[in-house]
Amino acid sequence: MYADDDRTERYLSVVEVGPDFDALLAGEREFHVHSVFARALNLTDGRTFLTMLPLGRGCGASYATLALAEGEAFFRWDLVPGLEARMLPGKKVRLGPRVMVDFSRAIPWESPLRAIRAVPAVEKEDMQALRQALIDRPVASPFQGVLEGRKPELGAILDRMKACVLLRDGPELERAIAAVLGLGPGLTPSGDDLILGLCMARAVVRTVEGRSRGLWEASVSRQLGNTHALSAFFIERALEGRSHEVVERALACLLACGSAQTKVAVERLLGVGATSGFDIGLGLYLALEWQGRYDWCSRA
Amino acid sequence: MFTRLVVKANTYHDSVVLMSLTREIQRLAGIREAQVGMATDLNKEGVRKIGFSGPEVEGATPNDLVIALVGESEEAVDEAEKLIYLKLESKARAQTAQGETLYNSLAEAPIQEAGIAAISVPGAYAAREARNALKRGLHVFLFSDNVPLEDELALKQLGQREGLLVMGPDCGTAVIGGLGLGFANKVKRGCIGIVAASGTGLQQVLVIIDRLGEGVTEAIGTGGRDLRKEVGGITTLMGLELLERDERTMVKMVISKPPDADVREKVLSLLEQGSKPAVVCFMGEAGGKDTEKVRFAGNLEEAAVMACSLAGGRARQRLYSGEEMEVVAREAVDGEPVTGHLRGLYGGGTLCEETLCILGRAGLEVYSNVAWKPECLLADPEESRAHTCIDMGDDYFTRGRPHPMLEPGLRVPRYLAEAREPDVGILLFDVVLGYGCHPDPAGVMAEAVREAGNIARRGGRKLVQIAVLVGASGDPQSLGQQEKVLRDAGAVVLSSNYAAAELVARILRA
Repeated sequence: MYADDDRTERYLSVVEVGPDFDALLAGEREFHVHSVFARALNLTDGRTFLTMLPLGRGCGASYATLALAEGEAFFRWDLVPGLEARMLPGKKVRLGPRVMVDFSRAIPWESPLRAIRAVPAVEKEDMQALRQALIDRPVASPFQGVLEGRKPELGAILDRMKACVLLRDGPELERAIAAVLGLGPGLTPSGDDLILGLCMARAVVRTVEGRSRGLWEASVSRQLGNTHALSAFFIERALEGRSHEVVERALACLLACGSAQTKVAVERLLGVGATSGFDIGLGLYLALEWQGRYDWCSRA
Repeated sequence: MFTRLVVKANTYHDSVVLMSLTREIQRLAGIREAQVGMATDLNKEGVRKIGFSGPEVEGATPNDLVIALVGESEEAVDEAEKLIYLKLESKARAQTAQGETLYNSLAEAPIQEAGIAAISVPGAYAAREARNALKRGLHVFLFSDNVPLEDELALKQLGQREGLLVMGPDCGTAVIGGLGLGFANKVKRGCIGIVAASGTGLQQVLVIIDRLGEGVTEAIGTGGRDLRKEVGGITTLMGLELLERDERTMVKMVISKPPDADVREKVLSLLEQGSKPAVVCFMGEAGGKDTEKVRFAGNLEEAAVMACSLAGGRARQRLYSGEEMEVVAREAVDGEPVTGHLRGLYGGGTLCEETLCILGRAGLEVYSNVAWKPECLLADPEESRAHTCIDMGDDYFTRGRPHPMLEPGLRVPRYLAEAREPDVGILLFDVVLGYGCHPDPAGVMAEAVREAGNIARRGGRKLVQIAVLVGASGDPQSLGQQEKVLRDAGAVVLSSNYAAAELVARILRA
């Protein structure tokens, strides 16, 4: 295949788009490029983040997927942090001198969680399969081995998170959250991803049960200033029960009880990033496990 | 904010130059919004969007240059306007990064050694540029569309008087003296000369000829309206005369939609009078009565095979035998009958029309935005019904957007929307390679194929995905790699649109 001509403009077609992109497309707020990766591009207006991913990487409320070939990378088109995202007529967005993103034919994204109307007890087989998949996954997460009892210090902190919610111990809960938040390298550290998984499961259960935010949610919110802005945004969205499609699909399959797609959805989640999928999956597992035993998601 | 609107009447500049100038001005410090362009409807809409309105905007015509600026200070607006004039008024030649020389108009270009002018400006300006080229003794390859029919006729009559070919308007491809123009496949030189009134139809024929080991002398595009009564087949007839005189050409071919009856007669009569055997494919017609000189083909693949048989002096077989097609069909459905409908999404208009013809002959009613039968014409191109094939290269889909041969990703949202329909069982699409096309069209569509497969699996449905890969082994995208990418994603890949349509018919009738 011949290389993309350095001078050419790249016209990118959006396939699916989440509702959070309305703020950009309506021209209500000014967005600019926050960070550029080979296969991901983040925009921000200083408060919220919008992420563009290639088709096949999944969508979400704050995500859009683009029709890109496997070898194409955002790096190649002179996209750098700080570039203004300029709205043009016809639902198009210009990013720098070489990239035009066309939203005009995009399909509105729908959450897989929209079908969840009640929270049944998650099937034992599904929980066992998730646990085994987490144990079998060779990742460099600081939480690897927690389920097998090989990380007693971290295991103790997670136990404190569980217990503090049940005992309504706010100060100790915040200390436990603070100990985990920011743990690990990268823009979304392992500790943040684990918290995100816990928040997602709680939010979905509580929404179905008609419950408002509780002690856990308030405690997490107060700690978000201690991590990266992008990661804090993802956790904030998780507190509302919104995340990337891969997370939502795995959770939807687990809650749909005995879904034939659960194994595929869990495998896909655990394959996200170097450690993110594992850490989020562990958060979902712990929240659902504690919910099954102690009504943890419904409490406090 | 400081605003400025300038409309310069009857001032034409090339749209590519204006687009890059707009981008340059938009990046200037202190400039919030800028639009520099000819006052087409689309550009006027852009001007309105950045806050300009009134009689000056509304009264501007596509022959007028419009400059709209919004800046943070009057100085910034002044500077921007000055820079625009400097750039536009400069007759200096621009050197591109690759050492090519760009000229703002044909008048500036030294054409002593040129034989053909390839023109790709908006339709409103194309006739003027083409006329200039003809007056300067150049054949014209007119890629532009939206050229009025009366302009086409006048240009072709002028060309005829001067002994110059006018290939187009809306001419997608041609091979002249071994040089590809427009969307061009890299095919072997040989002894088959072609005159074709279609872009992707010609590309399909060229790559099959290449695959069968033969080659072409010239492939002359005519534009889709040449064989209409109003134009009278001027370019087709001139092209056939040229091929008759050309010593290297041993076999002639004509490819077109069904022509006007009188024009058809003229074309066939000219072929009969010639000294060389000819193959004719009037798509939509089942064929015709073969004569000693002229043989009729029912589809593009058959036309290419017949021409190769004549050129090589031995009978050539179709790309896929009946037995092979049986195996492909069996493997595609994997033992499960397909009950759902067909949804075809084409970038190549001729390929879409050929599929409609082939499936129509097989007794399948297929709806389309380009259907010849009024009862099969879709009321809304956005909404498929029953079996549907869409030409996504049609003006409806490409207004303000690139053609899907340039940006295949534009088809992907529709492709996945179709995949989600529970009553859809077959998805069909084309991938066209060659110079001028997207650098990795199969790579883009492969991701869609993979995702559509996931959608079908989640829904517990059978979904057959068929790709028509139109490419030659010499094309820059690497034919073998493109095929592999599509197959790995889960598509059935065929090199002939006829074979793909036949496969669809077999699956649906099973």
